[in-house]
Amino acid sequence: MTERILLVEDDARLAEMLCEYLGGAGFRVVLAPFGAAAMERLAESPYDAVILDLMLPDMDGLDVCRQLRAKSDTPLLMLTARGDATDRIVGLELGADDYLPKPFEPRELLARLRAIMRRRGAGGPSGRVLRFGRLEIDCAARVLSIDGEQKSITSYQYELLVAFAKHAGRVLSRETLMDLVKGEQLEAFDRSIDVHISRIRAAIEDDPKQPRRIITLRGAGYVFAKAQD
Amino acid sequence: MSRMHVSFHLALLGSLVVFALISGVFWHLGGREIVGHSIYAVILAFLLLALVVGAVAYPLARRLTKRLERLQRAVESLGAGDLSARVPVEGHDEVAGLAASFNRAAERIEALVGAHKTLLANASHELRTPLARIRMATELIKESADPKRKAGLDQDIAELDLLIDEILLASRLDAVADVDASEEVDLLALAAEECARYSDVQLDGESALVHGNPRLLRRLLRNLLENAQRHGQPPTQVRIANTGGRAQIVVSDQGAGIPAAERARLFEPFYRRRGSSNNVGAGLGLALVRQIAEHHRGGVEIAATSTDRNSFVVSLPL
Repeated sequence: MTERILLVEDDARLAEMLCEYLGGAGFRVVLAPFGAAAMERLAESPYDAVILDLMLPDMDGLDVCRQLRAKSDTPLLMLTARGDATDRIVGLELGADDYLPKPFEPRELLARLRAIMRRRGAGGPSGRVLRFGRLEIDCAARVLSIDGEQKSITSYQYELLVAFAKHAGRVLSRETLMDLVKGEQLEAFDRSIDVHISRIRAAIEDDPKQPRRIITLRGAGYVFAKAQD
Repeated sequence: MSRMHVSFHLALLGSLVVFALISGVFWHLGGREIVGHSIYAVILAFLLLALVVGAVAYPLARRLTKRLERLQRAVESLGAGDLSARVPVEGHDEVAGLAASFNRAAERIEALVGAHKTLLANASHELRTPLARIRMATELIKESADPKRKAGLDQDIAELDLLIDEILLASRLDAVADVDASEEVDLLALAAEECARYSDVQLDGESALVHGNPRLLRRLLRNLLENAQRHGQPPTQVRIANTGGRAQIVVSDQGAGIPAAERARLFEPFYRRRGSSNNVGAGLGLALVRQIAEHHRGGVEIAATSTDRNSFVVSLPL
């Protein structure tokens, strides 16, 4: 069955192109150019997901977000062109599933839209999802994916990756890493950590020879990048 | 009791005591006498008078200094970024006039900053929405477009997006004391992330934890690295150090060095070195580096090295 998307966007030309692009990707898109129109469409029939621009002519997109969440848990992706991070934070706190700043990469919009719909389809975000750009770690399902494509790694490597992700932006020595995953069955030789990390890199890096997600710091350990993509 | 109030009161009492002593001496020397009383009795009488005057003046002085203290606290709050800080206007004297003037000025500043913020949000929206349209259009025409031209267009969009971001950020940093909440940031880890974006950047040093805005500090590092890539000679070296209670970020390259006269000007917005080509950025990168460093109570300078190298040193409090 074709999934129905409600697109709340007041810029007519951008909305038209988005409809064409998402339509080409197999979605049926209904357009609401105003906040009030969006609330009416949502009251008329259910949607599989909502794409919501935060700056609307008749009402604040955050109010639409708040009203939508009071009524349903339809997956919601916010688009924002404001430079301030506050809107994004407030939007996510109000229950938006994801956000994308303008100007966005259309393929990223598609990947994120599919990701939030998949999560809801799987019974909602029962566990925590750690997201770093295109990389997504679903802690409940123990699934790792990039651009929505699942990647397979061993259980130990998964634990190692989660330990990295939970300490993103910190320098982690090999000893600290081994401590963080010590509950796991461990090949406890120092170098084995490096081997596991190279396997994780093969799964998650665009170019494992030029790693951008797990970075080696000579003499200190590793850093899992906080800002990826 | 405030220091100001104590000083005020001591000065008042001191003046009265000195006045009493001098008056007593002159009274005595002038041949006037109070029958049966020595000079000491006269001085004592004047001292008592001074104490009475002091006791009466105390509440008056206290009230005045309290109002001045309130005004001082409000000025400090406003300076620290609380734009809603106001003081009650009591009475009809000069202090009341000063309080009213302060309130008017604070109101105007609050309104201006509010308008500025709205302008920034609107400008950001108005500039980025057309960019989103262009990016969307390049995606839709990808089948028919020459891949090289499309890549060039994507590059132009990215540059324009970065420029908008830098102009808006510079403007926001000018207007607002505290842009976003701060957190503990490890500069070594942050530098590792940013250096990984380039193939010819070497990083060494030690962990340095600072309290700051991670987004702004990332921008600071990225701009220094971009500057080295655009204007310097490879390889670029980044060093993170803890020196004398401060964190230091040193970004050096093998470039020809910057003349002393030009060093300060490099941090001015839109400044371009003579002879630099047109497609090497707008000249906002280093201005933002300075703004961000100062925003974190730090600074940036170009080190005067003995060798002919470009070396930018950012210093931030730990």
